[in-house]
Amino acid sequence: METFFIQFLHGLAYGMLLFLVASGLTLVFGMMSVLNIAHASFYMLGAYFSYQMLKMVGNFWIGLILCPIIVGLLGILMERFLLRRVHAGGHVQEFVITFGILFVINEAVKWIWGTEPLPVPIPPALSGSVMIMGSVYPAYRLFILFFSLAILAFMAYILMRTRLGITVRAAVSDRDMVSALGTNTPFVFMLVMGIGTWLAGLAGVIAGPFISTYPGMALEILVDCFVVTVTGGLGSLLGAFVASFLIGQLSSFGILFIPRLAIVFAFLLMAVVLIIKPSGLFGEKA
Amino acid sequence: MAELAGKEKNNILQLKEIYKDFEGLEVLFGINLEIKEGERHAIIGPNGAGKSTLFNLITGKYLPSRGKIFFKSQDITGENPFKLNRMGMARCFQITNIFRTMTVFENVRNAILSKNKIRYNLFSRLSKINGIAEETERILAQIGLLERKNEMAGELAHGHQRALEIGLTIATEPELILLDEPTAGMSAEETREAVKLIERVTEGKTLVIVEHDMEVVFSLANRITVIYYGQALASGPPEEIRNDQKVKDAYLGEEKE
Amino acid sequence: MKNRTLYPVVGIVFVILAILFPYILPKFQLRMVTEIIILTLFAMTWKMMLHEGGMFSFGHAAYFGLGAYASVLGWLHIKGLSFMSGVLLGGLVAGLMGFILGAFLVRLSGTYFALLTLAFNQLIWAIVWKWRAVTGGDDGLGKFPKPDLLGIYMKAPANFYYVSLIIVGICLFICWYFTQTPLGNVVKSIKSNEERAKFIGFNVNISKLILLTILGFFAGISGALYAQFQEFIATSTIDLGMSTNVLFMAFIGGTGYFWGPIIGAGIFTYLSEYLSSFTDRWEFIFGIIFIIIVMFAPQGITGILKKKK
Repeated sequence: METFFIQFLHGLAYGMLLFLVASGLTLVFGMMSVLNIAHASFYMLGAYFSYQMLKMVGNFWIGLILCPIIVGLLGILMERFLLRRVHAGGHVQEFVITFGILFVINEAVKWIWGTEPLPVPIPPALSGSVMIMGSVYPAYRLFILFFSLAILAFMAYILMRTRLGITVRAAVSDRDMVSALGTNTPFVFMLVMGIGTWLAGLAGVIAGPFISTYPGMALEILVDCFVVTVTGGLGSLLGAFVASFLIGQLSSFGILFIPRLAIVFAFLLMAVVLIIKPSGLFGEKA
Repeated sequence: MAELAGKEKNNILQLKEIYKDFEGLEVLFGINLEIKEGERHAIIGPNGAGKSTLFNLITGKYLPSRGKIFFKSQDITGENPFKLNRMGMARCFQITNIFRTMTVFENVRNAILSKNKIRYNLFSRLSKINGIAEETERILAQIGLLERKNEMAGELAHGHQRALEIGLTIATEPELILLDEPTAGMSAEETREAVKLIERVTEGKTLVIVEHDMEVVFSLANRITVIYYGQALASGPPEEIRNDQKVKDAYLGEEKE
Repeated sequence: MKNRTLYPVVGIVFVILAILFPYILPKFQLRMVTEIIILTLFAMTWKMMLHEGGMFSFGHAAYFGLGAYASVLGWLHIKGLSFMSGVLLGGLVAGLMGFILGAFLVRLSGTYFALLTLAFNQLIWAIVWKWRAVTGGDDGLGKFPKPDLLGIYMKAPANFYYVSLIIVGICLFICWYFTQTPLGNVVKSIKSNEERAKFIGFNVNISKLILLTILGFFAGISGALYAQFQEFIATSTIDLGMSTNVLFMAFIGGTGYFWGPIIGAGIFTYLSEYLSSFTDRWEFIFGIIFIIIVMFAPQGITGILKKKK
């Protein structure tokens, strides 16, 4: 029974991490109608920046605050100087350029930090364990879980209760209308992109001590992220939440039962959902 | 309710107790509609009354929330659009839905190929298949676009695009033709031409037409159904509808184009 | 009007050059040209999926790689399997996979489609990677036979070049011919207006599925040829990196033109060869070049050339 609960917590932690990344992706997709593939590389940048900052400053918490902001700013720069330029060229062009950006960032990371995984030590304050239901559970994983939930609650509050949030939500669901109403849409775009990439960077910083930093992490989160967004339905935050939870659990338990091909479960879930409801669990018909 | 009574079997199109709601927004409430073969049936009603939704249900784009649709006595509720076309039903769209990146000739040829069941052919060269070009040009002549056959469909003037829209609809030689506001956005002159065109191309077939322009309705239709906010208010020959008090009160008074 | 006379002349010049290459090019260059020819077929299938079929695929290496692995496994385990049979085996396995995956993929469009192709590619790659016993995993498969074709000694680079040229030429011709057939026309009309195509009586899903199967088949053929060309295959033949490569080729060449893929394959091969010779970080530079092309020359190099005329 304890093993079950422990696995459940593992799955929850990973699911929340996944949702942090996927929610940013969903927000940006909802607004731009283009899936920003490079999003996964911002997650990776968050992890690498945190590693670098730890080396330079020695304090994880400073990194936790600063690195996501840096990543968010990079995201804004990307939107402003690259994406906006190709917007007129149509969906395919926008899509392809985000792919190019992912590729370039991947290569840049390999260039600067090399191809070997870089260990990121767990901050001393969280390096202990906690007793849960008679088992020892790493404190850091609990931190991932609670911190993610806190961030998400914070985001939910901003989106639902503040004027800024409402504008963002409106822009995400119908940006032409919002533009017609006189809102400074380009500014909102940049803002949403900044928030989205900030979330991804934050997830990356947190993930560092959990899974270490390595060049393949962008791709791995990319696939999982995509499984989440497709299963949950493109553009639906609720769908992304449910799907992240499910994928988290499937990965956790799947590794337990069939360690070699845990990846299959995520795909099976996605395939089943797509067959039954092609637009995803909560998605609208495209 | 799911079965057709004896005389209903003569109707080419039969709608029984059709309800449609879109996630809470109810659009159609218990529509019953009978279309006899060879009829020219107009469906009129104010905007938002559900006329296009009705078309979309009949032609398989949407699934009714409740109720059944019969075509030539067969239950076709929720059937795929392409199957319905192959069964002999075709529709035009209110917002022009042609193949914009293909020429006028290629547009109509698509329909001709489909009609001749030339769909998965991987071996013949399209340009060398006998008779296709002739059939295509015959339709082009009927809709008055023969001289424009090599123009890009997306670059045609609105009136010509509507004519092409109608051309695509009739080229598959359907028995039941559904026209969704074919004269939308046309000038008076273009509308007159369009009515003549429609009369020409729908001869001998069953026509169901949604329209706002009352002149068009009264010159084409021999039966009219009035849909008013999701319900069939009245159904009968034009004179009956013209004089129906309910209809006058609700609709005809305001809507005179 | 200059175009009209220019094309046949350019064409004839190329044909003559193509025949003479083994005699005028040094061995290394001949190998490059052979590689370009094989990759052209791969790039052509991707380009057709996008430009003719309106479908954007992130996982095209799945078919290329499966063609490679299937043919190599055939040559390794089926005694006496001939050159052409191996190549065809690769094509058929890839085509079959195109059909199976296509059955899921055709219901989707746009972003969903692209994501699912990525997911499928990853899945297939993961299976190939883990199944070391059969595929050799990371270490790959080498030392497989290179049978003679109709008595022609295939290990001679000139012979291999000519055979590849002919096989790819035939495949490219079939690809072109497809666009002239009724099914090619259905596909074109689906891309122009999918909804209308449905309402005119075309079964959109089946039409797309047939296209995906055919393109998968040809991608598999190119994979099998590639395997014999390299005389070695590994997971890099079937991973997302390979899917990325074909994307690069197609876009750099220009996805709107029939000859885009060959120009793209050519530039890709030469550029990666040239760049990697003076820096380890050539992929980074390549990515930058790609972004620049997408931003400033979205019609690819072919687009630029056409404008200059």
